[in-house]
Amino acid sequence: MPTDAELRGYLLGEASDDASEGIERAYLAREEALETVAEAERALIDDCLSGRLAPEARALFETRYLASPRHRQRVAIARALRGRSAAAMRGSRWVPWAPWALAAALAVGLLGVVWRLQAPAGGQPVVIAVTLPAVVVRGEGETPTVTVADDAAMIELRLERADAEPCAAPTVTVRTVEGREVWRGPGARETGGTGGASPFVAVVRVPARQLPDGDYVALLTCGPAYETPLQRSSFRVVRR
Amino acid sequence: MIGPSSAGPPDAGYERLLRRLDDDEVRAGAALDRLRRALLKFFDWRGAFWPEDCADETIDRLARKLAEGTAVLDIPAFCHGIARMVLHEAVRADARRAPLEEADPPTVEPAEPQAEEALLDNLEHCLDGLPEGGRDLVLAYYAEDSGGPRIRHRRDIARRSGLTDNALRSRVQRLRDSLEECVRRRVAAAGRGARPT
Repeated sequence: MPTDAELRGYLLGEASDDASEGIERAYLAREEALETVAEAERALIDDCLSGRLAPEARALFETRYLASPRHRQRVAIARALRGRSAAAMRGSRWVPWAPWALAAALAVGLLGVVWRLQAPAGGQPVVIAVTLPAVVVRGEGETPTVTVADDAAMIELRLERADAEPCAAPTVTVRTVEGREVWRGPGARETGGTGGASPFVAVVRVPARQLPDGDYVALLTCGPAYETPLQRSSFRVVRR
Repeated sequence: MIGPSSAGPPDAGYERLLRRLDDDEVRAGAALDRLRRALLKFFDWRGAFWPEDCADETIDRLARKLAEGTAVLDIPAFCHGIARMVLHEAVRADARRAPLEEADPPTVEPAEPQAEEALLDNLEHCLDGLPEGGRDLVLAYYAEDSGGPRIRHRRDIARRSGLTDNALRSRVQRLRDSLEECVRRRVAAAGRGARPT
């Protein structure tokens, strides 16, 4: 049974001839083996869209996997499905946990609002959400802070856009204040921000484990012009 | 020669192939369908531009070999050998053709806003066309997750759906393939100026 790494190597064109032959013979003979490779492909695309691929793997993904127009379309569909799924989840599973949210709001001051999304008891991931208003200046005592417990799986960043400029395909990049990129991914669009003050909100979910304690900057870009951020939002992660 | 399918497959060979796959006619048809799907994925993962044509060509050649009386002990393994030859020919043929004008360069980044909007419209239409419960299942399965919570999340979906983990994965994969095929047809129809169905 090939390992996840071997399957990923196969999909990225890195597997040896012998390894490739073994994988292919298996999935031509057994449907279960075919589904395993298909699932590995889905995970590879998901890792790339979530910014979890190491630079070398990402380079291979872009030069080899994306050389196929069909694969490029597959990635685009996966990206769209993720955004659609995230929107569907938010529509049915928002559970504001008032006491914690109130304490957090007092702790961070007036510029950031944080919710803890406590999932139903079915075992869904715990998500901590933080709104980053359309403020571009990072100053001492004004940085929205999100306190993350050990059981938090995801941190949801909600970037409020200051103006009404349409952004069909927002991308959010998270960097340390030193400039090191720690995560990048597509955002889902929402309209209306806190108190209706912002016409546009870009929403992303970052795996909590990728944001240890520290200060970060979330950069919002639109479409292919991702080199030039439209907005920079600072926030702080504190773990307890 | 790889390309659009030529005049119908050799019937005698197809009959032999079906009988080799299963004694029961219905099960044999299902087995052939699975084999074709696996070949489709082989050519897709190996980067062939026309996986469907390559898969059909492979099965045609397999049927012809059987019709000629070639002794085939292991159908999938023999098929794999044929598929590798077909792939080799397809790659050479693709390289010889003039490069098509590509609308989207190889990048993970989102396409132009208009293209992205068109994709979202097509995706919504295709999600609506999925079988009963398929839309909700796909969206629930692809809700963003990571590591351990992803596995628990999907087991929860499997439990609620009355499926095993493997059956859920298989069903979602087929739904995803259907979605992708639907979007591809609509994009192709739009590109020809035809009304997408």
